[in-house]
Order: sequence, then C-alpha cells, then structure tokens
Amino acid sequence: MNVRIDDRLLKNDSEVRRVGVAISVDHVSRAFDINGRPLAVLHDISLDITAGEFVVIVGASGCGKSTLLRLIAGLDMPNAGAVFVGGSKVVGPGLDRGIVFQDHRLLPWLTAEENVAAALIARGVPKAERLDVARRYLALVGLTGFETAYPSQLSGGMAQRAAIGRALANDPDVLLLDEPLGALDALTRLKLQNEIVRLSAKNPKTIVLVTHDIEEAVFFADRIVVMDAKPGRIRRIIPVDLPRPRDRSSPGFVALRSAVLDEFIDETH
Amino acid sequence: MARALSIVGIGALLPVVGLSFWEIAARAQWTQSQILVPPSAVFATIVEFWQSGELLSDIVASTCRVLIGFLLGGSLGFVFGITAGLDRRVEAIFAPTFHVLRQIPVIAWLPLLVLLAGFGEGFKILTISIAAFFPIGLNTLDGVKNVSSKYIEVGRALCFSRRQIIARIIWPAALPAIMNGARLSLSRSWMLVVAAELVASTTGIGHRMDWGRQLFQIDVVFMGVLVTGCMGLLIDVAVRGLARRASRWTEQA
Ligand SMILES: Nc1ncnc2c1ncn2[C@@H]1O[C@H](COP(=O)(O)OP(=O)(O)O)[C@@H](O)[C@H]1O
Ligand SMILES: [Mg+2]
Repeated sequence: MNVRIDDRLLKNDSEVRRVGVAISVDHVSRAFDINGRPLAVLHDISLDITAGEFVVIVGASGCGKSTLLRLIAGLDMPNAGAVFVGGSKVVGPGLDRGIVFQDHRLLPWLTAEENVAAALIARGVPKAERLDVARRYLALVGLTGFETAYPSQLSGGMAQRAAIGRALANDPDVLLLDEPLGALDALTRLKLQNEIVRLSAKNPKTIVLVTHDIEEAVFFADRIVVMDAKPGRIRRIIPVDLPRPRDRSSPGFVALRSAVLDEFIDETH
Repeated sequence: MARALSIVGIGALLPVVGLSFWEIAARAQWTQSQILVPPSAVFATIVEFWQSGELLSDIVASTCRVLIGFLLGGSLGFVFGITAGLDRRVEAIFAPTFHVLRQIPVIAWLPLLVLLAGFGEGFKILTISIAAFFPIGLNTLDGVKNVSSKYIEVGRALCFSRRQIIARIIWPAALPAIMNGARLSLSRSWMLVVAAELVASTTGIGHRMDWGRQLFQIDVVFMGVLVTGCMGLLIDVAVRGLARRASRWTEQA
C-alpha cells in the first residue's frame, strides 16, 4: 500500500531509468514450487533506491528479504516484474554488485587473500595483481597480518570482514549485505557496524542491507524498509533523518528505534 | 613425537605377543609344525628369498600389474565420476548400471574373466582395472555432486564462467573425496592382484603363495601373506599422506 512510486522514475519502453536511481525494483513477484504447489514469497514489490543511498530491509524471518536481495544480485530471477541496476535490467550476476551472505562463504581451500583475489578472476586480472589488490582490501577491512590464514583459522568476525573485502574488491557501485553481522556476538557486531559506517563514508556506495536488528537498522539507514510476510510485501518505508555519525544514545535515535520497533511488533499481529 | 612412538609401541604389542605365542606353540609341538610353521622359520624364508632376489622380483611383478591396472581402471573411474557428476544426462544414462555393477565383488568376476581373457597378463590387468574403477568412480561422482551449492553460488556472484566454476570451485571442493576414492582403489587393486595371481599366474606374490602351497612349503605361503599385508600398508600410508594434503582444509579448527 505504502510503496512509494518515485516521480523521477522514467517509464518508457527502452527499460532505461533516469540517472540517480541506482536500483529499481519494479513490480517484482517471486514464487517457489513447494511440492508442486507455488508458494508466493514476494508479491508485487516496487522500490527505488537512489545512488549512494543506504537502505536497510527489516522483516520477520521468512518474509523474503534474502530472496529480494538475491533478485537484485541476479542470483535468482523474478516470475514477474524486473530489477534494474544502474539503468539496465538485471539478467544475472554482475561485478557492479558485491554481495555478502550471512554465512561468510569464504572458500575454505583458499587463504584470506586468495578468497578476496577470487573476486577479480572473472575480469582476467593477472594473479600477482589480484593478490596485490586483495591485500589492499584486507588492510581496508582491518585484516592485515591474516593474508595467508585459512578461513578455518579466522574468527567469525574476521571471516565476515574478509567476505566484505571480497565484495568490495571489484569496487562495485552496489553493495548487498544479507544479515552480514547476524551470526556474530554483540561486541564484534558493534565493532563491525562502526567499520561498515567508516567504509561507506570513505567510499560511498549504494548499499542494501538486510538485518533483524532494529538498532542496526536505525544506525545505518537512510531509509528503513519494513516488510510483511506471506506473501512478502513492503509494509512501510521509514526515512531516517538523523545526523551522521549517529549516536546510539541520542534522544532522536532512541525515539526512532522504539518507533520502528512498534512498527515491527505490529507487523507480527 | 614421544606420544606417537608410544602409540606405535602399543600397536606393536599385539603382534609381538601373538608371534611369541605362535613360536612357543610351534616349538613345543602343540600344533602340527608343518602347517603352523614357527615365525622364526618364516623369517628365515623371507631372508632367503630376499637374498636370492626372488622376493623382490615377485614384489616388482605384482606392483607393476597394480600400477598399470590402477592407472587404467582408476582413470576410467575418475572420468566417469567427473562427467556423470557434472552432467545430469550422463549420470542418468550410466549411473544406474554403475550402481548395480559395483555391488558385485570383484572376486566374483574372476571365473568369467579367465574364460574371457585367458591366463595371460590381460586377465590380471583387467581384474585390477575393475577393482580400481569402482571406488574412485563412486567417490568422484559423489564428491562432485555434493559440492555445496553455496560455494557454487559464490562463483556465480563473482561472474565465474562455467569452466572457472568447475576448475576453481567444484574441483577443489571435490578433491578430498576423489583422493579418498583413489586411495580405496589402490588398496583394492593390491588385494585383487594377489587374488588374480593365485588363480592364474607365473610371477608375482600371489603366484609365489600358490607355488608354496603346491610344494607344501607353508613357510613360503606365510611369507606371501606377510608381504601382501606389509605392501598394502605401505601403499596405503603413502597415498594417505597425499590424500590428507589435498583435504587439509576440511579439518576445521
Ligand atoms: N530456492 C528456494 N526454493 C524454495 N523455497 C525457497 C527458496 N528460497 C527461499 N524459499 C522460501 O522463501 C521464503 C522466504 O525466504 P527468504 O527470502 O530466505 O526469507 P528471509 O531472508 O526473509 O528470512 C521462505 O519460506 C523460504 O523457505
Ligand atoms: Mg534471509
């Protein structure tokens, strides 16, 4: 109901969107076959995300957040509607989008630097150069000294840092983060939240992040997208106009956090 | 190191006690010493055959057959596992037959193989090839099929080509299973070379045992049993080292 149709959206046949809209999700639906019966997971989702915007998606578990992110990543295709990134229709994965999964998904047979370097393979970058770039990005995410460590030798937080480094290594326009900090302990999560803010300030990107942590959503977001389940829809979009860097204990922050929480609790009724 | 030695020490306890008991039993004439010859006599026989060079040439003959048969059957099994694991249509055509055939113990093929291939070298190589084919075929097929879709998705997200996904994700992920299959294949090959040589051969460890049996030289038979076990262990330890190197990453911290 509350889906905002952006008036900058240029509707024409050429499927080109106006500059400034980095990601456009256009009347997207996705259903999965469960034992021969279709299960509607996303129903008629539309969402425009401006270049440089930080959008956070929250919603109950199973409401289709990961599915939506995978559609933007091009790892999955919608049954109806389309996704546009940088003006062109998404038909598959692309190096203009970096993705971080909830489980770090580092390849266990590669070292940290080899994992990050793997992001540059498809572009045909020679190995030595790949490793150079990889080391730079490992330094950026604070993993200097762990270049040759294997994923099994890294803590959860370190592995997730490396996964973020891998997603950044192609310098993509769009960063997609699917509950990247969900599996970490509270202290590590706090540290990495600050780290993500630092990284996004240093090198602004369009970021879509999924989380179930309301405080994290308010801490990061320019806009918070609250989703409903069964089938997944956008329930409400909450703009967050708090100044950056954000102070978690400021009255504005606290007030907004409880407002979003109310919205979230409503949803489960 | 000391710990490793003490484990070896404990492991050696049983054979030492067993052999001592056997030696005493044989010398005290508790048993028919023509059949249960004492270990000391077996040992003397081993030394004798080693010094004459016969034992070495037996080992070399058997080992050559194992290597040729393993390379033939093993590489065929490997190719089957890879192609069927990567392509559903190939799997649909070949896998049902494969799974039926692999239930048949290789020993059960021997009479048929003798009829088909005679008593020559071909018979033994064929037997070993069959023995080597199935373990590596099965493990490669399973290894390739069971590569986590999560890792393949990482490759897709990084825009890997199909070839890059195979070479950089499926291959390393399946390698531990493939190496394990190769190890089983080699070990089966060694068992089956002895069996095939017992049935029809003029050289090799198996033939030496059959020769000993016919001349009622039980010490020679025991020598064959011992050498077979030791060679099998040696091969397994060597390949296990390689297999472990390939699968080091699977040992999660
Ligand atoms: N490939 C798939 N096949 C079948 N069902 C799926 C598939 N992917 C997701 N689903 C289903 O879609 C629903 C939403 O999943 P998901 O997007 O992962 O939710 P969320 O990330 O919000 O927890 C779940 O009920 C899940 O079981
Ligand atoms: Mg999810």
